[in-house]
Amino acid sequence: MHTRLIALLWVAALCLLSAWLIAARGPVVNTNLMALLPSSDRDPVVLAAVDRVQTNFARHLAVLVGAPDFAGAKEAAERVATRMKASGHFRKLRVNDYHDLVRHSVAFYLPQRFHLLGTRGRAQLTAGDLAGFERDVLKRYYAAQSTVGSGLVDRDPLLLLPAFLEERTQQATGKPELREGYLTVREKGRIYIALIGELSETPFSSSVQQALMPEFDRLRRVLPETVADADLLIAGVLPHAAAGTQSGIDEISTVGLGSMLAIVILLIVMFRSVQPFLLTLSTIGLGCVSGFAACLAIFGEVHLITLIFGSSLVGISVDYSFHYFCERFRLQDKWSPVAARRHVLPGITLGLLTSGIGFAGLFFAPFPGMQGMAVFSVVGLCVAYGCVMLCYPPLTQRPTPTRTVLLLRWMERYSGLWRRKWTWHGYAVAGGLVIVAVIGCLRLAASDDVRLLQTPDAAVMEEELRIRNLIGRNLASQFLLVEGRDAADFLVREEALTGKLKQLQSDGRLEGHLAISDFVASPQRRAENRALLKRLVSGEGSILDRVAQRVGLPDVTRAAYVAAFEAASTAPAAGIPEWLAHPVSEPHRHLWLGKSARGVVGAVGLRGVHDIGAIRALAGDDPQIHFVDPAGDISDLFGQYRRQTVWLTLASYGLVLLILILRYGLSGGLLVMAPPAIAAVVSLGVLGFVGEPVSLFNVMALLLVLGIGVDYSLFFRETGADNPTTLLAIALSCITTLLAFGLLAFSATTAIHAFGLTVLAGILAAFLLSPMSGWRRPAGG
Amino acid sequence: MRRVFSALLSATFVLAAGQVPAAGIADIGKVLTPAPMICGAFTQSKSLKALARPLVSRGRVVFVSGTGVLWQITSPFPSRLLFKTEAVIRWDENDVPKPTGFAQFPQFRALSDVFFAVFDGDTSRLATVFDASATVGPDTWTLTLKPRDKEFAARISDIDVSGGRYVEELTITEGQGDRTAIRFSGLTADGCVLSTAEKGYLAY
Repeated sequence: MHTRLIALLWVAALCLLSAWLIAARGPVVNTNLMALLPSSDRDPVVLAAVDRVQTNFARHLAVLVGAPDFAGAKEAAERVATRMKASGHFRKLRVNDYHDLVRHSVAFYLPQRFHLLGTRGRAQLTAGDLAGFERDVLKRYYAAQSTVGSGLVDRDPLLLLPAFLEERTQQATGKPELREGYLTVREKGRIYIALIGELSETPFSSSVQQALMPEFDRLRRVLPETVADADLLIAGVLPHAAAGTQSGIDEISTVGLGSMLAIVILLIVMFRSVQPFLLTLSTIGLGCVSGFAACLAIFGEVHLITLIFGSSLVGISVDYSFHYFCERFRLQDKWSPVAARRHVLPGITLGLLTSGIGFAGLFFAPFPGMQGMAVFSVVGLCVAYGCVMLCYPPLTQRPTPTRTVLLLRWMERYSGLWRRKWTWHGYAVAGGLVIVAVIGCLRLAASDDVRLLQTPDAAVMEEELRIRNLIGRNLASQFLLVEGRDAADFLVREEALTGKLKQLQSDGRLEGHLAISDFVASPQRRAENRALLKRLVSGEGSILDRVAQRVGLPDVTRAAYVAAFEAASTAPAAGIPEWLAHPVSEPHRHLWLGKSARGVVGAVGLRGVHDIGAIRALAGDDPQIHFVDPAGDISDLFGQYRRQTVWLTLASYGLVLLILILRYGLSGGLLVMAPPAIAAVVSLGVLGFVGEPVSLFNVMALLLVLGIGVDYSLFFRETGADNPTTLLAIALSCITTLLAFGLLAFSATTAIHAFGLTVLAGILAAFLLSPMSGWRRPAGG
Repeated sequence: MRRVFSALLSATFVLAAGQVPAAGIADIGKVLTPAPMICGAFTQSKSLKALARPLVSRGRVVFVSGTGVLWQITSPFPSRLLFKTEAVIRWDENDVPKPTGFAQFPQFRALSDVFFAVFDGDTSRLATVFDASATVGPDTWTLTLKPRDKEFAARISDIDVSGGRYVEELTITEGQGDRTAIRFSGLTADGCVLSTAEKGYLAY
């Protein structure tokens, strides 16, 4: 009765504690794969700026609603917009309030016309090419269907404004045109209206995904019913995130269901009773819930990947149950719960210790998600261990009838092969594995590609490409950050940078860039421009005179312009705050990132980067300029951490070996360590053999091979090489592990697939080799 | 009150009904002859109120059905444009093509619509974008187009097109009172010989 009370208290205490922890935090599950990554070692100002750029990017969603004609597209777009607004998940949704950018540009830049110079004009005047400048002005007057009108000619006879705006619109290469305030794009026989929404939360939130994605799917279905031939296209981070979550959820269900089903069938077939099955299931369940609660308490959230891997890791606690129940086969009628516990205690305890060390190694991995896995699995395993030790004996008083099963006979035969040292069987198994390992290891190659974590969904990607083609915008994922003491200082530094970028553009190493200083000139640049322009309007035979004569500009207009030019010298100039406040900045406002701890920060967008090294070099020269390459940064991190994790794994193996030597002596310790160590080499060999590159995730998986593999050898060491019940328990555990991780090898996410495949090969090898650790022990233990 | 409301409502319907293609437009097709290729010369005369005399430029136009309208100014400053249904391509002085969307250039969009309609001989489709009125005689026709889009109408108040078998004259009147008149001459559907360069530009 006493032991039952302890068991009850143990379970009740764990349940209450976990429930309290989960209730206090709420079960926060993060699905953003990038959240698994460590923050890079950049300084906080840059990190904050990068974060702002990426958060802003991630929250935007482009929805294109198309129909054969504008009226249809308009009706369909309004329907979609109504539903999007009703969802409550959009902070902003722009439907038909797009302003006429040209009108706003004219309103904003016309007052600045006396110091407005485009890049080309500036270069001509700086080089003294007055004839070239004059020719450009005249060409603008005579151009086919030019934008030049009387209102402009009166105020800006040198056409400085259109020259400037023409360059700026070249930079914003978007195809969309305005129609009744809607942003529209045409395609053969169709017209699309673009709705640009900004989510109120991160697209990685599952509540946002669950609310919006089914709604868009529904709209795709019902739109053609109300508007003939209407369709809907979506691009943004949201559909990618949702597809990722969906495949993550599918994988959890497959892996979880698969291994659970295998455990159920195995246990019921083996033990002819539901009791072991129910106990094992509850043990794993309680372990997972405790692990989840511990992670929440420590990290505040649990990552989806942590949940997938963590549950699988806790799943190896099924070993403890198997060893406990398999004792029945050995002791038959003499079996008693206390005797069984006493018999498995050293094996299970050592198993917990070594697996714990193996998994705790993950805690030192610099990845937040991996640290979560370490906490999840170590806590889960300890809870499961406690359950077996405390709850199993009082709950399994009456042994259920058992029979020797077919599997046990196979195990007897296999362990018989290992009874003596170095039989030809041992040579055959070891030799085969060594050949695989050597050939494979020679073919190994490393990969640190960011696509390990993100394999874009094909359908989502196709839709995104269609939208990109329709809108005709193709910004690079890389960008530059510019820091300045204040707005004016920022502009000066950015102008210096864009000067170098333009050089790269003319060399064909870059297609284009987008910078605030292209739209707002620094005070210095304005003064320079004015000085250059002054030479054009003053004196006899000036460029202004020549142009006026050629196009027939009345003298009054010319005189009025010169007077206005002189008067404008003291006019207040528009700086960044004025630009930000004006609708003209709408398409580019996101480039401004505002105040930082050191001053102000802004971003420079890049288009068509052909020479990444050249752009990186621009930032290398200057501490105020930072080059950001999100994909490249992640690949660098992957590589860096792959190398670190190799050492971490080696250290884990070394530490476990040390513990084993302390218990079993030098040769004993080496023998116990041999199966998992050989298994690790074999699994690397298999990777090489099938041509899979080695990434961080394969190395991580080797920790698991150690954790599980060492369990196998330990039990043999404790019970003897030819103990068939030990081999049976190990076989059962191996089968469940293989099913669980074998299914992971089919994952669409490369990282999970790599993890699964490595464990699959490693565990199989560890299992086959495990009897060798029992050598030098008399048969029967 | 209700009566006033229903009167307003029916007025709206009448206005809406007014948006169907004007009766005359379809008749233009009886005179205007579509052809797979049309070419000829043009003179563009831009009269700005702000300037004492018009800005005159000359050039050659080539229309290829389903491809585009190649607009080449030869004097006083050579330049080249290719109107496509979805964009306009401009070649800079280094002969590098610069495709531009219609977003910033609604006047290009209007011209593109008009060019394709008159060269294709199908003016009735213009009624979707413009309020159109037409007079059609036995050998000649005139067409007046007023943009429906308010923002657009603020810039271009109307476009007058006239012609016979082919389009002959096109006048764009802007909101500010400036006028651009384009006169076509020697348009032909049969005797078109394209230079290699022209074929290259059209193939963009």
